[in-house]
Amino acid sequence: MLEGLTGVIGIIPDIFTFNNMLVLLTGVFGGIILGALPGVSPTLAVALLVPFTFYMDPTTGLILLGAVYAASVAGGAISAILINVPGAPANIATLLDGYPLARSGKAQSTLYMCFISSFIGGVFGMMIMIFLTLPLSEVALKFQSTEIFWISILGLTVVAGLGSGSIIKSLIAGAFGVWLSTIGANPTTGEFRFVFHEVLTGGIHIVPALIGLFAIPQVFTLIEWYGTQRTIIKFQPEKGIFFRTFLRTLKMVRVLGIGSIVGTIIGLIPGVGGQVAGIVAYDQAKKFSRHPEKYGTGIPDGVVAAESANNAMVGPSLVPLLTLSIPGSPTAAVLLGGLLIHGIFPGPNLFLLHGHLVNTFIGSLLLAQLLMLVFGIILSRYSYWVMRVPDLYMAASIIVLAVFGTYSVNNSFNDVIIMFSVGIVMYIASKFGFSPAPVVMGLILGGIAENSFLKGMLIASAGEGFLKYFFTGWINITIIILCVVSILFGVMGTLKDKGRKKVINRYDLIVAILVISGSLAIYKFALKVKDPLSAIFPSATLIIMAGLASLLLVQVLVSMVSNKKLDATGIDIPISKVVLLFLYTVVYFYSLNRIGFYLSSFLFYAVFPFLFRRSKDTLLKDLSVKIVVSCIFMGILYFLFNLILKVQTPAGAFI
Amino acid sequence: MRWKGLYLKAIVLAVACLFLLGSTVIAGEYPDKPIKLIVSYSPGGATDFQARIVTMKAQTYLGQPIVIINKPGGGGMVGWNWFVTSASKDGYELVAYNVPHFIAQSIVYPDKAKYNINNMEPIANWGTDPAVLVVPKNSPFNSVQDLVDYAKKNPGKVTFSGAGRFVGHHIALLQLEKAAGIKAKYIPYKGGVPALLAVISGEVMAGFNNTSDAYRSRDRLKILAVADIKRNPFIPDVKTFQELGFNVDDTSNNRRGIAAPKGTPPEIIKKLSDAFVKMFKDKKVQKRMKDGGSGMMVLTREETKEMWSRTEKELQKVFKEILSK
Repeated sequence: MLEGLTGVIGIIPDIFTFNNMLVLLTGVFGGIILGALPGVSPTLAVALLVPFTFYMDPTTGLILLGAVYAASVAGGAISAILINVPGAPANIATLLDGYPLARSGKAQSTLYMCFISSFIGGVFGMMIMIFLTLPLSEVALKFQSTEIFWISILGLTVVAGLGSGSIIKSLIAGAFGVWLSTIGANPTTGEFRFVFHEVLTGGIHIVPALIGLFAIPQVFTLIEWYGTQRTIIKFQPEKGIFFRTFLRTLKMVRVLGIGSIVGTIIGLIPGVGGQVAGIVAYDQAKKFSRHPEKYGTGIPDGVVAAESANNAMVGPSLVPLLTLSIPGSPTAAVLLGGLLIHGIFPGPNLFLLHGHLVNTFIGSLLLAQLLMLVFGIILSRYSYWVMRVPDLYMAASIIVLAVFGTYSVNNSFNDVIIMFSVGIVMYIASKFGFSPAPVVMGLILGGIAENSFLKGMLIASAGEGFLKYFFTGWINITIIILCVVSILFGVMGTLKDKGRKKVINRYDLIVAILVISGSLAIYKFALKVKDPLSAIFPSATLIIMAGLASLLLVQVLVSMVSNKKLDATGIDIPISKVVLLFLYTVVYFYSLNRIGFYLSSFLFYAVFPFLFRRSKDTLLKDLSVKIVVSCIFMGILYFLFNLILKVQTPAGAFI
Repeated sequence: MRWKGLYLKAIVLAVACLFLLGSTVIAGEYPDKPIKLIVSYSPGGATDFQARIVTMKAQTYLGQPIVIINKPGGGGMVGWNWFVTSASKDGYELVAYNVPHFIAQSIVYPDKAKYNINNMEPIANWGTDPAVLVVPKNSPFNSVQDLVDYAKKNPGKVTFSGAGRFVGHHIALLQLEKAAGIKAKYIPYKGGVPALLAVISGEVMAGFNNTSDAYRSRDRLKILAVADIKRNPFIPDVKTFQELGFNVDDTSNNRRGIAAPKGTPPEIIKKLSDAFVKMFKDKKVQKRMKDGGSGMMVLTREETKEMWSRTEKELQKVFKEILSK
């Protein structure tokens, strides 16, 4: 397939026309910014731009889409690293180590590292795609319901190692995420489950839940921090670090390799998509590492593994689209629309019929990787601006961005309510040692697992029977073995890891009892379905959750009986501040649909410092500057999104 | 405290500016501001994609542009529920409907779906996408008869994929089962594309899918019949079920168009209906739709009304059996 590469190189002169270069530059720059906004996932970023390509010639349109896709995937890491809120589900793994690094004053070099590894992973994925398009498309066809079911189970085994607390708690959080995924209509049986309120009819979408789970606890934590004596780090531009960081990243061959390969493989599997590539690569890198205990505390390897995987998945995720006309990911589905509008039908003859155009598209994706690196590096130099924003203002900004991002996904205020509710629960749970990443993994993979399991059951019942259908075929067997290995690895790791801090807290007794009674109550009273198929997954999940909590209970009781000292650290919540923030945010949400997003956000932002300032603060001195800055920021947001991209924001009597 | 005073003044000034911006609404002849079109599916899906094409000439025919707003979720239910309960009745908020989906949901989920053919006002229909029966290229079945014969000998053993429960593909299979006297196994997928992939990869034995998507993948598939009352211009060689002697009509065709909430003034509905019918017939719109492989079927308000109630009657018959269980 050497002609693949020469074909792509051959069209590069075409891209270098003034017009196309301009589109490419704008696309990459805009893509990074769009990707960095929490909630604006690559899928949404591309979807927002497809209507614009209606009026362009096919080449220019495809360059724009390719550039935005490649750049927005990388852009999602910026918010993950700087504000601890992932730009898209793909960036969950990035923040686990990225945010601790940024908080310790290394934001700029972490971002450098992130863009360099994105570039390496991205180019690797593109090369695999260019050379192996046709053989890979046959591999993609091999992944059917049972294979995808086992893949999602393999993904779920990763959950155990996520988060800083105990393994049991991570698993409980993962099971909770799986349960969240069963809310709403089951796509296979068509039955509704757990629709406690009308708001839940459409189920819980991943992106709003993602924002809630990460952003809301972050906001409350910032408010807690504000006013306490915390070591203040002066965030300054780091000078002369580019080459050092570059060489340092290149030296992480093993991590880069794991990330790029895992990302490429996962990108290829239709339906699983890039959302889990980063986290699976992160888990693998951790398992192969000599010092796995450092993961999660701020180790560059974590960022490199996650980001190289995220971008490596871009190229392969397009293989099923380009060769079979079957989009393998939501983003590819949107791109299909962009191709069709110009009369380009993807399929095996695509390269014969539209070789030039396709090569342009691939070429622009490749060039976009390079430009993404350049722009990313330039933007990273100003990251200290973000890090210098006082916690108070950062908290207010994150709430406003969270509302904006959540609403823009489905234009639904229900999602904003879900986002906030899930976030509040997560904030309280985080006080008891639970982390958000396992919940998101459960939510993403739970839906995939249930869907493919039920389809497999239906197909198996018409044919060879359950056992034979799910446990034969070399791919199934391989993945099952990998699942077992992954679990064993996790168990051994825990047993070996004597140095791990005893994380049993006296409150865990209450937590365990609450989870057991809660999940059993939901199982007993809320699961009312006619079709037994609709009950399998939720009941299994709830019973597993109760079982895990019982394990936790046993753990606590054993430590109590053996008179080991329990960690007696109190649960430290500054009640008055938290309640005030909660009520104030509710008022803000209430006003959104009445006076509109921009006016209420402005008022929210303006009154915020008055409510939360410390008495000794002389805060008003540079406030007018900040208000002007926030006005300009809102103006840009309004102009770019509401006027140009036609994004909707909650609207009331005013804007 | 000088700064504090200045700060408060700045806030008041900014709020005043925003009020001014927000209230610059001058009443004029309808429409004097952009019209919103709610699409109950995700951006990039077939409905969204077609809605964007057929409304791109709105400025010419209505004097105002149309802005697409996606409210996906629950197979269309979230968007349509929102529409009949919350949309403004002044002609500035319209919805893209999918027949038979929304009618089927109103019959199957009377407590969850708040919409039905009586609380939405049809404006015009733009397109139709008939379901086709497809099998993998290497399948032993070469005709509908082969498949039916096999299914008769092996009841419940033939697997069919489709884009979800109670959508056109499911309805087409229910009709075929009844017409041929067979029992098959319907496997619902999350959308037409995964359902088609299942046929191509041989995960299921057969499937009902959209004509446009099947047509694009025709070198990996055999298209055995089309569930419509006439042949399809994209695949003129493929016979209809009725030609082959099976009583399967066009009830399952995925028809798309525009509706307004009940209570919208009749003169606005009339104006919209006239403009949309003309816009859908625009040469540029027609060409773009054809390039995208999407079938056009332009119906006026009266024709659409008739089509809705005919479909509802037929669906009540089709679902009677499975709902009584």
